[in-house]
Amino acid sequence: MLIKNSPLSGIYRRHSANTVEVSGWLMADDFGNPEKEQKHLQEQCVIADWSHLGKISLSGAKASSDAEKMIKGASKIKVLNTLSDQTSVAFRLTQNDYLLLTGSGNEESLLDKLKKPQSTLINQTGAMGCFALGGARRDEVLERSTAVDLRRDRVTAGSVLQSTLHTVSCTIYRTEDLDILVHSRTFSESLFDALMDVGIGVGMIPTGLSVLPVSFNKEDA
Amino acid sequence: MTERMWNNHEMRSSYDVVIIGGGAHGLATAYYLAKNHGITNIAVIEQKFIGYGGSGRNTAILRSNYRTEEGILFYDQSLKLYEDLAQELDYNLMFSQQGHFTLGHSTASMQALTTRAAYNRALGVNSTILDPPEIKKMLPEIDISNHPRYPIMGALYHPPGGIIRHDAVVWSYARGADQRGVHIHQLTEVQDILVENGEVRGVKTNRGTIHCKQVVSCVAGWSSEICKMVGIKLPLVTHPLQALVTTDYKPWLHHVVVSSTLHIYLSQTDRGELVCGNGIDHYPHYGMRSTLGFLESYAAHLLELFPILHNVTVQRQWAGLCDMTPDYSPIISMVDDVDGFYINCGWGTWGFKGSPASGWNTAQMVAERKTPDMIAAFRHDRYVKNRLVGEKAAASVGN
Amino acid sequence: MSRRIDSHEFYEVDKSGKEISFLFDGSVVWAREGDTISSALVASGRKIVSRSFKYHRPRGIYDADGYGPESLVTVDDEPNLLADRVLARNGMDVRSQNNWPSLDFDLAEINDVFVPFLPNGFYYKMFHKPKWLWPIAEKQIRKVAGLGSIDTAGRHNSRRYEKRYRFPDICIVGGGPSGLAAAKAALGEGKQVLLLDDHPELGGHSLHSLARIQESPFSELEGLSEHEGIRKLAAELQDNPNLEIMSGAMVFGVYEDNLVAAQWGNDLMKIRADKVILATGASDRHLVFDNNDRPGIMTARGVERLIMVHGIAPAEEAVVVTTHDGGYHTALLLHGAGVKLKAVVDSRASGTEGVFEKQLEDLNIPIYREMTAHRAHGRKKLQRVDVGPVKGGESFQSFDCDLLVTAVGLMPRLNLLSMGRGRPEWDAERQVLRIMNLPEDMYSVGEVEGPADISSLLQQGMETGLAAAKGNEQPKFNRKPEENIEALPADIESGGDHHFICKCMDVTRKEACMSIDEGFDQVESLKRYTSLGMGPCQGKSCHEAVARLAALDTGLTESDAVPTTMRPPAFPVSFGLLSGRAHHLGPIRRTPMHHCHIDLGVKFLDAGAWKRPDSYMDPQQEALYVRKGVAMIDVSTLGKIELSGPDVIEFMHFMLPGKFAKLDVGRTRYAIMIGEDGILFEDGTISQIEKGKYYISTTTGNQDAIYTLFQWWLTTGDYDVQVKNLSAGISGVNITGPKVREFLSSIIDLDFSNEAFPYMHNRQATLEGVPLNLFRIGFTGELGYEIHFPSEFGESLWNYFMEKGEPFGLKPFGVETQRILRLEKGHLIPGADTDALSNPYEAGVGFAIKDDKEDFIGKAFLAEFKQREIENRLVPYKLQEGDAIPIDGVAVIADGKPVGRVTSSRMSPTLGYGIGMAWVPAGSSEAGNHFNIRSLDGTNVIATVLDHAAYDPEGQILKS
Repeated sequence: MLIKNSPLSGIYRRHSANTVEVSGWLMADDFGNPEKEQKHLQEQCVIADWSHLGKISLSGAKASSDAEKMIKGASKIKVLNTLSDQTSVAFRLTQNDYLLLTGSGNEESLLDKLKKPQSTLINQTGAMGCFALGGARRDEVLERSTAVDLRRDRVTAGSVLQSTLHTVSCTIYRTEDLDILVHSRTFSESLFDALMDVGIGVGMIPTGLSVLPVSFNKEDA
Repeated sequence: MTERMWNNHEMRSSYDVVIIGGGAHGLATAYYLAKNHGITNIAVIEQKFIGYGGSGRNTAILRSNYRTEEGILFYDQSLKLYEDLAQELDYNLMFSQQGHFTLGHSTASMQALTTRAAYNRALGVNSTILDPPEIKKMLPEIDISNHPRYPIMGALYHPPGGIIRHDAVVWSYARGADQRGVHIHQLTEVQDILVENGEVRGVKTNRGTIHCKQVVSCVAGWSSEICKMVGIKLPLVTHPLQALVTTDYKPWLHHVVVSSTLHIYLSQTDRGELVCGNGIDHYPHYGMRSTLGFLESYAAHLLELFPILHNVTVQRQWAGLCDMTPDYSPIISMVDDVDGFYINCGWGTWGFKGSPASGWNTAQMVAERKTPDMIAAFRHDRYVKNRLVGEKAAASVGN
Repeated sequence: MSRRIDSHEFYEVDKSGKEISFLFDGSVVWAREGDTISSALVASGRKIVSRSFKYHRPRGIYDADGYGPESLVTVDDEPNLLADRVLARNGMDVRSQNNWPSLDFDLAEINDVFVPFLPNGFYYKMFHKPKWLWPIAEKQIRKVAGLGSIDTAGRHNSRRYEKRYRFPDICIVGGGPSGLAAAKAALGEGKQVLLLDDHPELGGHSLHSLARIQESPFSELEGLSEHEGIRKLAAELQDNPNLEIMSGAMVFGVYEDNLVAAQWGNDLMKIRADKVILATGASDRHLVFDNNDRPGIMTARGVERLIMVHGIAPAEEAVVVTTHDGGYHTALLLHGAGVKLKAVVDSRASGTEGVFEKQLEDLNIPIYREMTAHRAHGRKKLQRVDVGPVKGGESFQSFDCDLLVTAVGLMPRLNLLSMGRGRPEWDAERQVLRIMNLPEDMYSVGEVEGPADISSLLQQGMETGLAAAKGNEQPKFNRKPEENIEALPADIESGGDHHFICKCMDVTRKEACMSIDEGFDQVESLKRYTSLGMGPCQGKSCHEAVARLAALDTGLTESDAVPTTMRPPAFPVSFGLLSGRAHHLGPIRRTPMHHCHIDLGVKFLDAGAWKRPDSYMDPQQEALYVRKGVAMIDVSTLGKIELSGPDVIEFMHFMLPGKFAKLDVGRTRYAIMIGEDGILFEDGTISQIEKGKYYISTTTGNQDAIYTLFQWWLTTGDYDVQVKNLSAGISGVNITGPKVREFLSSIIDLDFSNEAFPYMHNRQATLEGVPLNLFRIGFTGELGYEIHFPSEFGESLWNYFMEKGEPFGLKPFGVETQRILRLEKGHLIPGADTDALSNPYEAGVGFAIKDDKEDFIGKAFLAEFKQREIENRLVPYKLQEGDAIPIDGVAVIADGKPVGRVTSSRMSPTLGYGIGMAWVPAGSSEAGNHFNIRSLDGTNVIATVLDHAAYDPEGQILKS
């Protein structure tokens, strides 16, 4: 089996990341100084590549009932809200559009629950990149990146919204401690560069899975 | 004693010709009707003041490096009229014939520019293709490295192109027309056009009704409204077009520079300000408000070409309206169903440069009551017949 | 000589600022931290700071607030900055502008001597006859035009600009008394408030007012003097967590839907607020009299600011011209700073016995009534002032002085309100221009509504803050009669030629009057003709004077002579700030193999947002690898759309001009797309890869547009069809060349024989665990397979192919090579070989149109095209061996006229002569016809029309 590469593989090389294999994917474990990265996570902010996460999109009139079969309770989610368990999180983007994020390699087991999809279902794992922003100063990166109001009393933890960051269309999932940005893989490297460009002024550095492991729990990311 | 440029007159109850719209097109039409054809009993009706619309809001760029044979010949006539206009009207229009660059940033645009150069040359218009080092020689401040997002691959260079003092063109045509007996009525609004048995009978205004047998509509963005009065539908879509000027700097840019990929054009006036324009706004709209988005995108694109302008400051921004046709060519046309009604519109972003030829040919059409060969391709019914004059490639950024 | 004051009679001078220094035109200027360049220059005794635009008249600091053009300087190579607004920094290099050889001795001042002799608008009346004169004259004019110089040598990227967004409930512009009161009230309602002020310290004009606060909605301020009270109010708000304060922020625009734009340091702040309160205050009126622009003539508030904020006594001897009690306040401040007051000249018949007036009388300072300034004397600095009756005529007396203060009333700062779509109206009672009908959710309060005392400002500020917080309408306030200041007539009939209305463009009143006589009798046309108000200050300092003068001189009523629209930006903003960061021009799209290409030394080609491999070496050489061996190209940028569902055939038949009912599983077909106008805009392939699943590959440029188009039409019809855009998730390569079968057979478990996998078929396979879709198509004209796979494997798979292909001589090739190869086959590329007028029959793809269908997009116009004769045709052609290759786009010429064009033109590496495609008239479009291509240098080559392809015309290679 050939290795799967993140859309940021070029960035890994440029920044000398230490990589690790996760479910067939070659991902960044850290960017050479985990202690420093940890410190930035606690005191400033970091960006981590989570592009290996499973991603499934569902759309159409039957999207809600299909989503329900994969994640219990998904049909009850209000638009622009989410539902998460330990392995997956479901975003309801519109009445008829869902995006599911799941642990890497977990897509198949989710898809297995749905024998005959009634909606337009696409496994988007390889089509989309995914970044996590962590650390207290990540809002300062976001306020330089998007024209959308992300005030925390208006976009609360557990919400999801679709917007653009540096003109790249993104789905932004907000938890207490993280902002997760899902986007087309073709733009991943550009988006990373743009975020780093504004992030550098507020102390953002890249990090990997050892410092910011994947978690969907919105209270305890 | 100061001589008046034009006079305020009482409105007569009838004129031979009524021209609606006191911009460069309407006034040029009046002027050439009087001068070339001896028709002087003319009223020019202007809703606001002369030059209020596109004539005063454009970026005053002149050129004739079009794409189609029809377009090239027409704009070449216009440019030649412009070259002698200051002498003819005895008014310094400050025509700065400084040369005009259209930059290409892709193989597709280089191909389109080459075709324009080839057609121009074959029809006697001075145009050529320059490579980046040749461009750099004439525009030393431009960035021709491969560092920008869209590096420069070449340019269409058009030496006779340039800039002119646009308001002065309006005023001097007005003076020329006024001296020959034309009445200019400002602050006069057309409310209806009177038609009987398929013939024009007059124009109803807020200052009373004027009887006349011939009406020319030169109202650009408002053409759909005027044509509606005589029951003609036009394939026009009105878009805002924004522009800006910077504060004054010691002149350093001595050519007009246009980039269609980056959607920008700029030139520096004799006063020292940079006059900068954009492509049309994507949305159809009648609003003339400027946006911050325009400033931001313009700045970003401009700095790609001229990084030295980083600290140059914007002084004023504004917007005008463009009546866009599907093929980016104008409509100058008689109307079969309404005898005596003439349409002059669809000037989009290329109206100011066409004003003299537009006025010249429209005047001829009105005087002779038949379409001159020069503008035969610009009839309004070409859209019904799908016989378009494909100037989109030459006007994608407007200037 | 330092004009710093150690102490002042009426307040405690702050001397805490550290001493710093900078250069002005090469001389050292000592300053204190907190100084602006202007205040430091005044403190150092500097009189001339700039030269005027046209006449090069000496100009000095005027309002110390940047509302006029006088303080424009170059700072560290940044031209046209306002010295009034730039804080002094240690070691900065400040230079004056628009003078030669020096600021103090400027040769071009000779222009000024000619003012009386030059006809108005003289530049329209000179130099155009004879015709040859103008280009020469223009060259000279351009040599002297402009103000600051652009630093063409660089240093341009030294500043790093940010764009930042804010979304407060309430945005307040102006941190003076009414703005602060509004903030306090809104905060009390629990709102999040953003307060912007353009000075380093909050407080506005109150910072330099000695008036007592008699009444206040905030009782803790009562009894304090205004400058103490305002500091107390500001300090009280400072730490409120719901308040964000941006001091020193220049708000330059208010755009649609409450978008407030400001420069805050190096940040472009874009603020989208629920409510906007504009408390922008007022400036001193501009007084028009002879030589009213001399250095040493200053506004009252400018002088007050210099004294109380910066601790500077701006002159030795002063005269104050006033129309209201404010002038007495300024005079008292001057006196307290040790300036000798020669006279206070009041236009009113009697005073109001205000406290300041009484204090002045007690100090025996002479007060002259019913008088105003007639004329200033002195050139490089003010030396004397003539004062006389308000109605003009003979001057009454002259005073020697080096400072004339004009305190002739206040004009609201309307710029930001005007951008909010409101039109100024003359308020006869308040004697100011106001903007009264602001859009919903926008409020104005404070002096921008007309002058008022501190109690009114605080009270009205508070009420407006409350109204905004509660979403109520803009409250209407009255002014007490004593708050209104009568506008002094701006025309003082005292002779002279230098009554400047517009100091930016050097326009005098006389010039304006002559222009009106010439017919420019509308305010708008007057402005365009004279350039009144079109200079750097954009009318901020003169719009009121222009409007009132126009009213007088044109005979329009004051209510008709409204100033022209004030447009953004309210202050000049730099392109650097507006542009922001480097990612402005749109992100780059990369394929998964992007870095593999870089490792191979690729030259990239920009294709829309994509970077595609153009070539890795000489494209002619690359082409031969395809023709003679085996080579691979990254085609991941192609669009990939999957259609399925019960109505899929019906839908495709509507969307596309072709027919697909007989396209079996495993088959692939060429297809084109037509617009509603019948114009060809796209081609690609359609494959049935599984039962009922149709896989469409589109060109790179159209992938998003076509997906959107499918979605669009799906909403209009009742089709049960699913459309999946798989473009990003699936990537691909095309491996092609005579050895490809051998190579792929060695690694993929699939029968590649011609019988098992014929031309225009597709198959599925697995390679090292990676699922593949293979398409046998032939764009290059050589045996070839397009292989599609999930994008996450792109990098691994590319490297795998390169490694396994090495024994077969596998090479990478790029788009340029592909273009040569397809040209040898005569395959067109929509967009490159066609344009927005290309009719598909003329383009030679009529075979892909099956018009015996009920309805499909473009059918009506296709029918018209079909009926019409073919007028032009897109044809493949060849040149003679040795003929030069014309560049893409040159014209086809017949009888000396352009009749067509070359769309693609290359040297054929395989055949050794030039080939290409061209649009030619139908009459010369048959195979074997000749036509004439003219290069830009005028040379001609004869081309011969080919039947279909130059290479492998029978398609033997492709099909075997």
